[in-house]
Amino acid sequence: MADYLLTPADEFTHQPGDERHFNESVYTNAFDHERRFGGWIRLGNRANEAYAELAVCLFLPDGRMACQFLRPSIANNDQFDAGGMSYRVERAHECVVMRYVGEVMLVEDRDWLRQPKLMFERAPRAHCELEWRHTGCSPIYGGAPTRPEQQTMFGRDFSLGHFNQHTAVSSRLRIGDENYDFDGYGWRDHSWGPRLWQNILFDRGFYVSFGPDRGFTLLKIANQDGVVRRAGVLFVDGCYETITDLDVFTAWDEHKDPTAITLTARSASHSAVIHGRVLNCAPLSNRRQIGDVVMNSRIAEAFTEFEWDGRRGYGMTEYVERLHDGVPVAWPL
Amino acid sequence: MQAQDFRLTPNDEFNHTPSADSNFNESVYVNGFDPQQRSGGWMRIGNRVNEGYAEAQVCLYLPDGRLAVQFQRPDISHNNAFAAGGLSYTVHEPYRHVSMRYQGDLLVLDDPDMLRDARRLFAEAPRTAGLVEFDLTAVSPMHGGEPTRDDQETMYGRDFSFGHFNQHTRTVGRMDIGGEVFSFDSFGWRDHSWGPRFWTNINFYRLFIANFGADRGLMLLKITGRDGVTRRCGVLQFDGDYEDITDLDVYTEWTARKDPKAIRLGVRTAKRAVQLEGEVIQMAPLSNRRKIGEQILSSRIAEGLTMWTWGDRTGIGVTEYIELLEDGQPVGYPL
Repeated sequence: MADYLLTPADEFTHQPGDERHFNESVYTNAFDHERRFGGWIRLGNRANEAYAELAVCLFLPDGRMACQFLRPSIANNDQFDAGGMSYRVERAHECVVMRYVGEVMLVEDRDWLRQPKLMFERAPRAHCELEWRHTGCSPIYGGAPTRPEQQTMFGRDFSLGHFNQHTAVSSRLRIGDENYDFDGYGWRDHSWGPRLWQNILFDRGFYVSFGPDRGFTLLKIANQDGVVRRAGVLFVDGCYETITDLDVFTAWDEHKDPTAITLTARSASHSAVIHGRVLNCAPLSNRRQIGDVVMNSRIAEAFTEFEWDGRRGYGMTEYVERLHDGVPVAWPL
Repeated sequence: MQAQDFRLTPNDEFNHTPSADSNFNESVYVNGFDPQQRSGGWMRIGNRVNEGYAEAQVCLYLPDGRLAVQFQRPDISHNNAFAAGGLSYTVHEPYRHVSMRYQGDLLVLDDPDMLRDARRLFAEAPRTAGLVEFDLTAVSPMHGGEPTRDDQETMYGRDFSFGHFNQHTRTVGRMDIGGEVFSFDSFGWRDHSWGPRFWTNINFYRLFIANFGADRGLMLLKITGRDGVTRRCGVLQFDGDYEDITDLDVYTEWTARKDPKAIRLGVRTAKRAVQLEGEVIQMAPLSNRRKIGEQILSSRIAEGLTMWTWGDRTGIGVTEYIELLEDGQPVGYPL
């Protein structure tokens, strides 16, 4: 991929830029395709702001969610290790392990997530021990752009460097007295550079695995200029195929959260018609004051079952978008 | 596609001096559809003066499901007018008022699939005398023109049409088909193109043209070149004004013959985001075949009369899927 440079050293933390909102983050998701559950965890170092964003979002088999959102203090960007969450690269480009040991909130009604204050006050707590061992089953996609004019996947004001990979996952997961161990599939990414969530005007991201040989990373995104771009890969027979086109159709619930998705994607070798059904959705949000302006974004994180050529896959549908007068700017598309 | 990207003068309503390209085309196209009778049609004259002929086409969708069509290649010796094979086109007032007329034989088809076999069509289809008159007056601004810069992308690509403009219209139509007369006073659309054209220069595209009354309509194009690059362009007409689109998503349901039968569109402009659903109620499965050097290129040209819903509005228009065939299969299918 001549547009990006990626070295094994990029698996580790980078020297932060001077930007106050420099972010370096790792994200992994993992799903049990038999029992249809799983989730994602993320640690985003904001060393220049002296804290990390820590997020745990697990969709349990009984429909509950187990969540945590913390901002533990950090003193530097030397490692991913804060608030009970850690990330270790065992073999660059091949195997990483992400852990979380700490408290989670058990969310029976997802609408609690729309009112974080109430959720933190009322949600029952449980102890969580999670370890996800991700072994790559795809190439790595992305890296740092090699040219100043090179478009990056999420836009340079959201992440300068970014790479991702489909994985097989060995999961050890205990919540309270319940054991949720599984072997499944997932996806991981690693980003670095200045980031404000509000620099995304809107996006529709789909990070999904169908097994060791198939999946997709699909993104339709508009940054502040409103220009819509399409990016991503189809993962077919173990190889990544960069997409040349993507269309997205969404069905919505009364809260304007996605309930079903139809995707059509084209690469040089394949045309894919993919249908998705949201199994559970975490309606998250982000609020940021920049100068005198307070900007809010919704971040709908939807655990989704997809069907593609008769195969079933599982993963995350992520709709990030600014709110104007409380309404997502890109809805209903 | 912004207004400043294109230059348009009243003279562009008339014929242009042909370039030296052997495949220079100058064509005018008009349509009109009646949402009550769910009928209407389109007519087109494409002068190919450097090849000594015109493409003359009439495609009418009758209320009972029949098609009345004609496809000819009458000889022409100049590009000074649009008048050939019984078709003629008149500019009454630039940007405001044009008309198109056809007088001649029509092939009347109970079975639209006869269009898939041109030899059988012309040998077996019943013929009758036809007189078709469409009178079009503007209900929208003009859209397009000649590109103002060498690097300006044109709507269909420079190897399909160099200059191109179009407009939504009120269309008053009268279709006399062997004494059966179908009349309507409704809406439609027209375009005018000039420049070198091979139909087979289009790898594939999905084009949607529709009216939802005098003040609302759409002209939307998703086109993919042979380089695999997909572009989206077009306009929504809203409250009488054109809004250039900033995004377009297309989802197609297909018949067993790989023709479009239903369409979902998601369309964004700077001012609005809308969802539309279309149902193809009558299909004219046309085709084009061209020998270029030693190579024979074939394209399907699916022309579907389509009923649309846009919120509480019902619309009608034509859905046009053009794409190359490889081993007989449309290259853009199933997207």
